[in-house]
Amino acid sequence: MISFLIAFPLLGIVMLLFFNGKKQLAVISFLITLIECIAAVWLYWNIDFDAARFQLIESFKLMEIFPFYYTVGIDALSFWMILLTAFLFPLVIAGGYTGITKNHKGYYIALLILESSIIGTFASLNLFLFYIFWELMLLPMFFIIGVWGGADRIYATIKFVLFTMFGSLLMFIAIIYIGIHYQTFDYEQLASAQFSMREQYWLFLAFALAFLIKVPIVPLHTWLPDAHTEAPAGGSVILAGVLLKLGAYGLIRVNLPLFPVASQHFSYAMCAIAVVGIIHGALTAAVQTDMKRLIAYSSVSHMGYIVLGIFTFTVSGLQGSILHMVNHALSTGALFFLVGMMYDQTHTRQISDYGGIAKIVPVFALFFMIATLSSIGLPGLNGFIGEFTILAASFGVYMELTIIAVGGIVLGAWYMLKLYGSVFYGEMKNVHFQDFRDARGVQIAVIIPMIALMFYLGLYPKAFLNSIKNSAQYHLEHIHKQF
Amino acid sequence: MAEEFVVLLPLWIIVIGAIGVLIIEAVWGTKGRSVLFAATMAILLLAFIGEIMVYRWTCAGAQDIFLFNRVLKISALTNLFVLSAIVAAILTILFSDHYLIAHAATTGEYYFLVLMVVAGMINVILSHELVTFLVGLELLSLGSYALAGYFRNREKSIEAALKYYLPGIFSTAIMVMGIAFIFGATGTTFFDQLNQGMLQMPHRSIAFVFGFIMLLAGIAFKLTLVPFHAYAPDVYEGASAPISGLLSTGIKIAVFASLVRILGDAFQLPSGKAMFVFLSTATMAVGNSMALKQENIKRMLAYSSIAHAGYMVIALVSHSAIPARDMHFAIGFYLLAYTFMTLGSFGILGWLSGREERFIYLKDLAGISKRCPAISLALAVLMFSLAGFPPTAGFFAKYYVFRLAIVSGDLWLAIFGILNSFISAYYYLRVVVYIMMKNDNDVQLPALRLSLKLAILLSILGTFAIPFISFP
Repeated sequence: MISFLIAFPLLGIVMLLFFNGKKQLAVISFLITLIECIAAVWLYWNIDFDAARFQLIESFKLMEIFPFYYTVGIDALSFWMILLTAFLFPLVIAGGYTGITKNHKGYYIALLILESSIIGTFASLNLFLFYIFWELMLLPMFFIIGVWGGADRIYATIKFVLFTMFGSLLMFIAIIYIGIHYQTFDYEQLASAQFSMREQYWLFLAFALAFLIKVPIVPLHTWLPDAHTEAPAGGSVILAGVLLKLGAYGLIRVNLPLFPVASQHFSYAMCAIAVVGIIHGALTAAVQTDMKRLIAYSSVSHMGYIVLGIFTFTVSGLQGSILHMVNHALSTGALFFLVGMMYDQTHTRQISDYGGIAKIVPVFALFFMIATLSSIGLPGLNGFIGEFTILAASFGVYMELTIIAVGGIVLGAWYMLKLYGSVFYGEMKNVHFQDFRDARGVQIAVIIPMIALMFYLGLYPKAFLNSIKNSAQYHLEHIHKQF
Repeated sequence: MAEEFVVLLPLWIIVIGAIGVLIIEAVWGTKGRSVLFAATMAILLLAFIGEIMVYRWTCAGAQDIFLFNRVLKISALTNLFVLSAIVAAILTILFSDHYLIAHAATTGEYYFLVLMVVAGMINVILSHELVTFLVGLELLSLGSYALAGYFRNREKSIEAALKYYLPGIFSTAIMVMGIAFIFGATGTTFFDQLNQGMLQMPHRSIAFVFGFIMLLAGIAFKLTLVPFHAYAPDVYEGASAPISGLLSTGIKIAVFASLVRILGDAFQLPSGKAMFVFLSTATMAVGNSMALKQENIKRMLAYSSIAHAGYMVIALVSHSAIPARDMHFAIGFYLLAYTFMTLGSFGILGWLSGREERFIYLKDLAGISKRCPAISLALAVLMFSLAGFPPTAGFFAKYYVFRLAIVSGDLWLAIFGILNSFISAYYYLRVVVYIMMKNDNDVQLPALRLSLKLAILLSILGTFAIPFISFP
C-alpha cells in the first residue's frame, strides 16, 4: 500500500512520456496526483490511530552485501505528512499551471519524482533508505528552481542544493557509523538500541545539522529566501509546504527517539535558536519589499515555533508542532499560490507596485485576507491553535524563552497586515492594474480546499490532535524514560 | 599445461583478435575499415563472455589458480577487475566509432592499439610477480602513449603524447629501480614471498622500504595521485575524448588491481599508513580544488578523475586493519562505477565536440538540452553520479569507501572525503546548470549513430544497475 504511493507517481511519468500538449500534460499529471491523493486519504481507514506502533510495514532486502532493506511503514505522524504531501500536489499542478512557460513535460516529470521521493522519505523506516530518498528529493527541486524559476534562479538553485547537501553529508557519515557499529539501519531496531553518551552527542549534532538546515533555522536559513523567491509558484508551495516540514519531521522521528540523552542535553540550545529564528525571521520579514521574500522570511519565523514545540518534550508541545506543520503548509502555501497568481498577471512582486487593488479583485483580496489571518494566528483559524498549543506547552518549560517568542506573534501580525494593507488598500499606484482579472475557475478551486481546511482545523482541531497523541507519546517516551 | 591456456582464453581472444584486426585492414584496405568496428566489438564481447565462462568452469571463486610457474594468479578479485577492464574497452570502442568517423580517421591500428592496451591491462591485473607486472604495464603504457598521440596532425594531440611519454618512461625507470631494490632486499619478486623474504633478511629492510617507495611512486604516476598527477590534465585534454576516457578508467582499473594485490599479498607495512593518508588527502584536495576553476570540460573531468583516484586510495589507507575482501570489493566497485560515469561523460563530450574538438568549453554547452533532451539528461545523470548523489552507482561507491575508513577508525578521513565530495558537487552541478538552465546558442549538433546511442544507454544502465548486481 505504501509502496504503491511511492511508486505510483513514477509510473505516472511513463504515461506522461506519451503526451505532448501543454494542457494534456497538466491534466494527466493532475489526475495522477489526484489518484495519489485519494489513495492517501484511503489510508485513513486503514491505520489505527490508537496504536503507537508503525503500521502497514513492508520490508525486503535490497542488497545482499550490507543491511540495506527497503522498509516502509507509517504511523499517525507520517500518515498526516504523507496526506499533506498528496493533498498539496494536485493543487500545485492546477495552481502553478499558468506560471510554467517552457518545457512542460520536464516540469511535470520533476514534480512527480519529487512527490515520490518526499513520500518515500516520510515512509522510510530504514535510515539508509531514508537518506536515499532525502537526497533524491534535491534533484527534482534543483531543476524546478533552476529551469522554471525567476531571474536569479541559477544562483538560488545552486545555493539551495549546496546548503542542503552540506547538511546531509555529515548525516550520511553518521548513518554509515551507525550501520557499522550497530549492524543495522533499521529504525525500529535502532530505537531500542542503546547509544553511548558520546555517540549520542555527535550523532545528534550530525543529524540535527541536516534537519536544521532544511527547517531552516537561523543562521542556516539564507538559502530559503532565495530559493522561495526564485522558484515558480508551484515550487515555492512545495518548498514551504512540504520540504521544510521534512526537517522538523526528521528531528521528531530520528533525533528524539534515537538520541534521547543528547536531545535532553541540547534542548535549551535548540529552543533558544528556535526563538532567535522566530524573532529574526519576523524582523527581517518586516523590512522586505518583495512579497515572496516577505512570506519566505515569515516561514523562517513559523518554523521556529515548530522547533520550539518539539524541544519542549511535552506531548502537547509536540502535538502543537505537528499541527503547526500542517497549518504552515496551508497558510503559506495559499499565500504563495495567491502571490504567484497575481505575479502571472502583473509580473511584479514588489509591494510598492501594488496598492488599492481590493476594489478590482475582491475575491483575491478575500482569499489573501483569510490566508493572512491564518498565518498571524487569529482565533477561529488554524494558525491560532498551533501557536497557542506550542506556546502554552513551552511556557511551562522555558518561561523566559516563551515570553520572547510571543513577541514573534505580535511582529507577525504587524508585517502581515502591513503587507495586506499596502497591497490591497490605499491608493491605486499602477494604472495598468485596472484590467487585473480577478480569481476565477481553477484558481478559486485551488484555494477553496485550503481555506476550508484552515477553518476546519481552526474550529475543530480536536480530531486531529487526538489522532497524533499516541504517536507524539511514542516519540517522547525514550526521553521521559531517562528520568 | 592445456588448462593454463584455457584459463587465459580472454587474453588469447584479445591478442589474436588484435592481430586479426590488423590483417583485416591489410587485406581489404579501405573497404575493410567498415568492418573493423564490428570485428573489435565482437572480439571484446567474446572476451567478456569468455571471462565469465572460464571463471565459472575453473574455480568459481573457491580457490585461486596459479599459472605459468605462479607468475599469474586468477581469483574472484581478478575476475571482477578483468570484467571491468573489458567493459571500459567496450565503451571506448562504442564511443570511438562515431568519433573516428566524424574525424575521418578510422584505421586498423587504432583498434589494434586499444586491444593491445586491454591485453596489457589483463596482464597487469593477473600478474603475481613484479617483473610480469612490469611487462604488462609497459604493454599497456606503450599502447596508450601511441593512442594519446593518435591524431598526428593535431598539435594538442602531439603535445599530449609527448607529455605522457616522457614522464611515463621516467616513472617506469623509477619503478624498475624500485623492483631491483626490492629484489635485492628480499631475493624474490613473487608478491606472496616478499614478506617472508624481508623477514629473513631484516638487515636489508632499508633497501626494501626504499624500493617499495620507488615502486609506489611509479604506480602513483599511473594512478594520477598527487604529487605525480601533473601530466593528467594536459594529456586528457589533448587526447581524443574516447581515449581520454580509456586512459582515465582502464589504466586505473589495471593498476589499482595490482596495487591492491601487492598490498594484500605482499606488504603488511604498519608504517605505510601515513604515506597513503597523504596520497589520498592530497589527491582529493588538489583534484577537487583545481577542478573548480576549469572552463574546459575535458580538463575538469581530468581533475575530477584525479580526485576520484584520491577517494579510492581511502580504501587502501588502512589495508592492514580491515578484511582484504572488503577492501577489494570497495575498490573494485568504485572502479566499475567510475568507469561507467567517466567514460560516459568523456564519450558524450567527444560526440558534442565535433570536428577539431572545439566545443568543449562550458559556455559552448549552454542550453543544449533544448536540442537533445535525452543526451543532456544522460550527461546530467552521469554528473550526478560523479558527484555522488543517490541512487546512482557513484553514491554507493563512495558509501563502500567511506565505510572502510570508518571501520578502521579513521572517521576524520571519511569526513574529509565527504567534504571533498561536497566541493565536487559544485563543479559537476555547474555542467548541469549550463546544459539545462542557460540559454541556447546556435551549436550544430552532429547526428546520433546507433553505436553512440548504445554506448550512452550502457553507461546510464551501468550507473543505475551495478549497485544491485551481487558480485561473487
